[in-house]
Amino acid sequence: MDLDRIAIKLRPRQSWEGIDLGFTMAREWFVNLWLIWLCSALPVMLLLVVLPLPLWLAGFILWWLKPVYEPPLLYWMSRRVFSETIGLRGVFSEWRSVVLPQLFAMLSWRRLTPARSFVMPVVVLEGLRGERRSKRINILAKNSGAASWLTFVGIHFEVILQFGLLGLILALIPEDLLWTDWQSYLFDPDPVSEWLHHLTALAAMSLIAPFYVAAGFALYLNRRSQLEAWDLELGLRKMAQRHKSDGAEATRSSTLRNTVLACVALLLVDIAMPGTVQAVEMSHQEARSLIQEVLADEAFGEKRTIHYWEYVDQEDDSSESSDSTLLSWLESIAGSAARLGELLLWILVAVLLVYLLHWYLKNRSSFGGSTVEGPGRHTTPTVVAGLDLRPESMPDNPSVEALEMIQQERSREGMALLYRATLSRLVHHYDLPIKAGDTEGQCLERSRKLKIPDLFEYLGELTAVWQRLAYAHHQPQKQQLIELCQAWSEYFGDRDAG
Amino acid sequence: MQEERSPEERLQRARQLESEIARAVIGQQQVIHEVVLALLAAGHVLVEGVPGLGKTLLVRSLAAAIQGDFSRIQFTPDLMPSDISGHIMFDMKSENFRVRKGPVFCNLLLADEINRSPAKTQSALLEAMQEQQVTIEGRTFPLTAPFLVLATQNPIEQEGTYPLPQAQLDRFLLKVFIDYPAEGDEQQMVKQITDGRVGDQLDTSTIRPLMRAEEIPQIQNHVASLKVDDEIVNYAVRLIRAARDWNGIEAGPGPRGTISLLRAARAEAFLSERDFVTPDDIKSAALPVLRHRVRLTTDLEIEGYRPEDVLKDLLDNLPAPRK
Repeated sequence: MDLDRIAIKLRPRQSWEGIDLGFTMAREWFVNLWLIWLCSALPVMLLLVVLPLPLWLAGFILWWLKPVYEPPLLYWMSRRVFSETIGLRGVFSEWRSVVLPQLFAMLSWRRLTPARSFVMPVVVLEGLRGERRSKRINILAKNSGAASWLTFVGIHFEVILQFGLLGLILALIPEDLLWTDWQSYLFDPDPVSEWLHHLTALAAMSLIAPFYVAAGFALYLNRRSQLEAWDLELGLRKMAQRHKSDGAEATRSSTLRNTVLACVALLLVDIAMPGTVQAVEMSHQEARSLIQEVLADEAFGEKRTIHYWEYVDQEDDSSESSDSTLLSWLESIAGSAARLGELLLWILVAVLLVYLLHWYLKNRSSFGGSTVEGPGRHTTPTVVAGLDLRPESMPDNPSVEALEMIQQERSREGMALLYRATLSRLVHHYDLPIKAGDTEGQCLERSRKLKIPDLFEYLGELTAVWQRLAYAHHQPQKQQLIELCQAWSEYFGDRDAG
Repeated sequence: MQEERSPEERLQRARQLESEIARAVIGQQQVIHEVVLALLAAGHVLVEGVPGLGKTLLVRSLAAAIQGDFSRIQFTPDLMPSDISGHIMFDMKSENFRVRKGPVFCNLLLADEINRSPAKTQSALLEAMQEQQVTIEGRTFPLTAPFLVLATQNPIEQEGTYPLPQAQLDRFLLKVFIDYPAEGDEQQMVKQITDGRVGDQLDTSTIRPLMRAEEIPQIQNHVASLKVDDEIVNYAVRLIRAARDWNGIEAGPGPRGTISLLRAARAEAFLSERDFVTPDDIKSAALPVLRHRVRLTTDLEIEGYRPEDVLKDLLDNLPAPRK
């Protein structure tokens, strides 16, 4: 690592400035970084296309393998930052040494580490593992908060970008060629839509990844620069070089002073980071005397008087004791009020949730759910056309009871019971998807789907008789009603009423 | 003296009416059914569809089948009310004012592209539809029954149109959509119309006259006397009232909607060879009767929902009569 060749300006930066620096690096080298990422990710994508995997699983794997695509970017940047340009071939010739170490850990228990971008350089560039890695990360850990936020924001940008691309694609397709609607396209995709999801996810990941990796790397560089005083070292080196080139004109005293300053600075850095900088070798005593000598210099011996205002509490404490009871009372009142307020807020939240649930249930048809029929969505109704269809509401043998009623000249009640029992059996034993708002005619039409011609014919006759009785008040022939009751058990009688 | 027919005979002829028109107007069974329904219920029809789908042919065929008078008015922005109702002119020969009756004096009137004329002209026709009479210079002239107006609207071209206000839409018993015929029907229609024909005149020569126009009021009276159980009336009222408060409907139908629904349901029962109305008749008639009487909320309209979608949801979820 030759600091003289570093391509970025080193200075103490805050974490957010470090991220800015990373974004600037990513913008500067975007094409290279993007190509490197695609060269890693595209083969994986193609492999997933070939493998007979469910589409959702393929998408998940593509996302999960992100730590495979990112180290080459980091490797390329680590060279480029020190003005060494390597091509794609150069990057991928080092692929094994860059990606494979600790890949298993990166893809398993460290996959969801929020500060992945920041930790990656420690693993990939320093090659540390185990205890040493943990210690190193602990030392560098000051920036991990910003790195976690970087991940958090990056995920959101990735999702927004993906949905934006999805929306753009659908918006650009002419209406005549549209094969799906927005809701299905986004939330219940067919295979074509699902592939579009994966392709847009790949595009979004490829666009975000250079910024993510570069920002993580910049945070890492920034932290190392802070800890190891790279900026000071570099500044001193430049200073030394400048003086060397100035030649003999420099006075002896100033040269000495500069040299001493450099030594002290490096020594301070050495104290701060033992083992990292070994520029000057001297004992503590020597160093101490040197430091005192330096401090005695005019540059360090300057004294300044600074004036500022400071609040001085001059209140009489005598009233404090009398007020303290009142204050503590007010405090307890305020505390109680706060607790009560919190309780009321929770109650309000609960009421709001109940109301929302109630509103949703009441208006769920507006969400497009109730009008679609299907085996998965059908719920057995308990009431159809005002008739109670629950099996427990039926007598054990409805046709016999209906027949008894008919013979007792209670034809209408008998037929009502028979018709109700028929619908109940159709719903509970034939699994006929009858809706609560269906009329007799619609129930009959639905029974056609059972494809039992005899049953359909019987139901047709029963429905006609029932309608005539119910709505026209026409009394049918008693014999016809008796025959309907007797025929009922042929279709429904052998089935358990419950 | 008019020949009195039994209800069965009337039914038979009305059913033949549908099939007879279908011989000339191919592939539009639903529209034919609904127009016949309106005729039997003594109502008027608003037809929405692009040009060239056989609306004129439909009315001409109906006129031929009932031997009624047919008129057609092309509504344009400069059409005057007197162009519809008629006017009084001074006869130089007899030196008297003479009433010249307009095209509205007929049995079947096709008001083509009704929304191309301003409200004043539209209302001249709508008054005739409601009152069954026309006033010219202070003199009132009753219209001969049956009187059916079939007004059309083009759903695509909206430039320079005067959309019918809700109150005027309410005067139409049914709103019917006429759509492109199915491929097989279109093939048959093209073959039938072009074989041995010169030009593109509408041909209604295949239609046999089934009844006289004067017989229609008798059938209408019979339809109006069909039995409707209280439960059915209650169901119709509940349906209309629910439509006023249903989610997604900004303005629901008024009581005229309920009345129209029962009238149409009676005609539906009549065509189904029944002498009583069932909930199925109400449901069958509900869409054409109500679709122009409800206005959806803006958000649903923006999302592309049509009144039919909301009404179907209402019909699915509103409990049928309790018996």
